[in-house]
Amino acid sequence: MSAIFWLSVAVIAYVYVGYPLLLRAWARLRPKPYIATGTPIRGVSIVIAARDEGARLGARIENLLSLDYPANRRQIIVVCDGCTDDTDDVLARYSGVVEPVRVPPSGKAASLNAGVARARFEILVFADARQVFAPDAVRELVAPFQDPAVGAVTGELLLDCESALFSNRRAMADRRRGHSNQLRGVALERRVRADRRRTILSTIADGVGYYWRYEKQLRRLESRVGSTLGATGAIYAMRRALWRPLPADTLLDDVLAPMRVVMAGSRVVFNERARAFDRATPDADAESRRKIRTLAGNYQILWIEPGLLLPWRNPVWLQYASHKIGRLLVPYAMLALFFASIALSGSTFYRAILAAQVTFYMLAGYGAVLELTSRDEAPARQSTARNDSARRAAQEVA
Amino acid sequence: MSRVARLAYTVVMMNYAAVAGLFAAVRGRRVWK
Repeated sequence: MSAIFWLSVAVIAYVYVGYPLLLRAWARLRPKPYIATGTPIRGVSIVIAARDEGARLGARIENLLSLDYPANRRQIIVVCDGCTDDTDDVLARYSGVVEPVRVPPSGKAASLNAGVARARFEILVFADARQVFAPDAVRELVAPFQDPAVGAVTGELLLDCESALFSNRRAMADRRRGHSNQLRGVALERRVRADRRRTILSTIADGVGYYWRYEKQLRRLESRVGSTLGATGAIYAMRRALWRPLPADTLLDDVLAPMRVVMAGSRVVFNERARAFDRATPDADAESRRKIRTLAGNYQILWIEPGLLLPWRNPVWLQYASHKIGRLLVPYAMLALFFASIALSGSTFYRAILAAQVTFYMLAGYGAVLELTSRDEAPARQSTARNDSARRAAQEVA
Repeated sequence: MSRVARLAYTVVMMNYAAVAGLFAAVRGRRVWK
């Protein structure tokens, strides 16, 4: 039983602590920078798959049209995945600048396949209808393609629950820059406090914000030593020559497509200067559904590309096993640790470890209660504020 | 205290999702949208 205990401890500790430390050391000792001198303009085809996004699509297209990128080097393709709302009316307003592709309801992967089939430029940029790009996002996204080894680039998605921190950094930087910026700094600080108040209304947004920052740090390090293990669906780009149509039922296009790039021998890098903004999932139910879908997608990818499990086929096998497979194993390790601790609780040491776990789960229960109460307390005010916050964050970096 | 509770809850929820995700994938349950 003590073997099960220590094996479980080893799995959990390696996945959450050991692997990040290993990556940090690796990135320091053997970094693999990509060459991105200058930012030459390349033709980009921006593909958005949308289903009944009429309410958001107008603002999204305006955001894309306002980007700092030459119009003659940019193609915007919106795939209507069996839309039944006013999406067609919205697209009609932008005829000439947006190319609509209509497909019967078939899911995001099939929609992306249809959109890419229409693309005519060298670089594909994928985006969703909900998020907002920073003005220089596409320019930054294509910069790493200067390096011929780079096959795909993922940008940084900033959630509104992080934007408080982000705005805070901006406010402090502004203050340092001098008096002329002080007023702007004060305004930002006020906004920070308002953001915090809104964010605190959602228990899950707080936790997700921390988790997302931890996850992005891993991606940053993985990119420095070779390739990230996927991209952010809201903002990523790849060479059209490396695109392979996705199976129609693919759950995680933003992991499968980049991992295929890696398996083809190219790099997938993270450029945190290419930024998109979004709101955090509003409540635990929505976040739980999203997370279940993500994890189911991670299993599905192993079905679609079993070569990912083979060290001689997958150039980033160690990272994949440590990051993706490790995460799938952790819940079972946590359960095994709990029951092994009960079985071994005759000893003071194991009893203390058991007590620590019980405390952790009680805290989680308290967190669940906070989530339930915050959901009751913060109804419409929260959702309207959150819808605005991504757009405000994009304006801040403009 | 409440911040730690929130983090603990998120960790537990995400690990629950990993197990539920396996069941969803095995059963072929519709988890898309």
